[in-house]
Amino acid sequence: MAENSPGPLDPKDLDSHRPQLLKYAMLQLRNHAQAEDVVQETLVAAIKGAATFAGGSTVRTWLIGILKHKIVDTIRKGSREQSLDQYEASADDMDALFQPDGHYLDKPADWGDPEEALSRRRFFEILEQCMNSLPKATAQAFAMREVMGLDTKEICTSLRITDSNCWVLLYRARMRLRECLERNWIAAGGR
Amino acid sequence: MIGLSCKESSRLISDGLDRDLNLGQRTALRLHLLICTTCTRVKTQLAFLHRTAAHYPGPEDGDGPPKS
Repeated sequence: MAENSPGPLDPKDLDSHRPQLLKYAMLQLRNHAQAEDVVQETLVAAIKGAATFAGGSTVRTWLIGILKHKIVDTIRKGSREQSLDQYEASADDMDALFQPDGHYLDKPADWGDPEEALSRRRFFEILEQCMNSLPKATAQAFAMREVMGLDTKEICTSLRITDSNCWVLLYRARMRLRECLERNWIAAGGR
Repeated sequence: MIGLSCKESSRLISDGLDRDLNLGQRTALRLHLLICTTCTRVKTQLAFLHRTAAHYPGPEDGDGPPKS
């Protein structure tokens, strides 16, 4: 059976996904050594578990599925060692985006139909830059929620924060990213 | 929760992506969105971000665009 397959799970082929996996891990962990480690563990697990690859999804999707678990484990371990920055956990810095009466300071622009003209590669590149400009836990919460698709319960547990802190982090991340994308993607002719 | 500001609305828009809003919150938000194009924009944009970020790091070469 295996002989008849095109052999997408050759270890060498698996390794060709390494740069993309590293990028993915770096976005969430912001630490080269940790990112290298989780990617290495992922590739080892993938080689061992090659038989469980069911097809249906692409190899990269399957690898990212494994990688996600390793990333969450690492974040969970890390949050045991360092408590969340007080500023990140409690402050409501959204004041910078709004007037005292709750109106927007800079009115959000019309993005047109972002889907229609979505030049995806450019979008993800800018999203990545914007995420890197966020405080670490804020970016991690966003990455776990929106990039990895975890629910907030799991995120709170991993970051060891309360539900409401989690919602604040996600709120702040989204509003900051919205603004950053508007400035660097929409206004720069992303559409 | 009647008579939301844009700031309060933005928080509910975000929270609505993570948890179920209660009836009062849903009603207040819906009323605000009826009269506020800015917040309606923001809602669309955050929903777009929510849908799209999951496809990071973007399409694979030769694989075509990710299915959304």
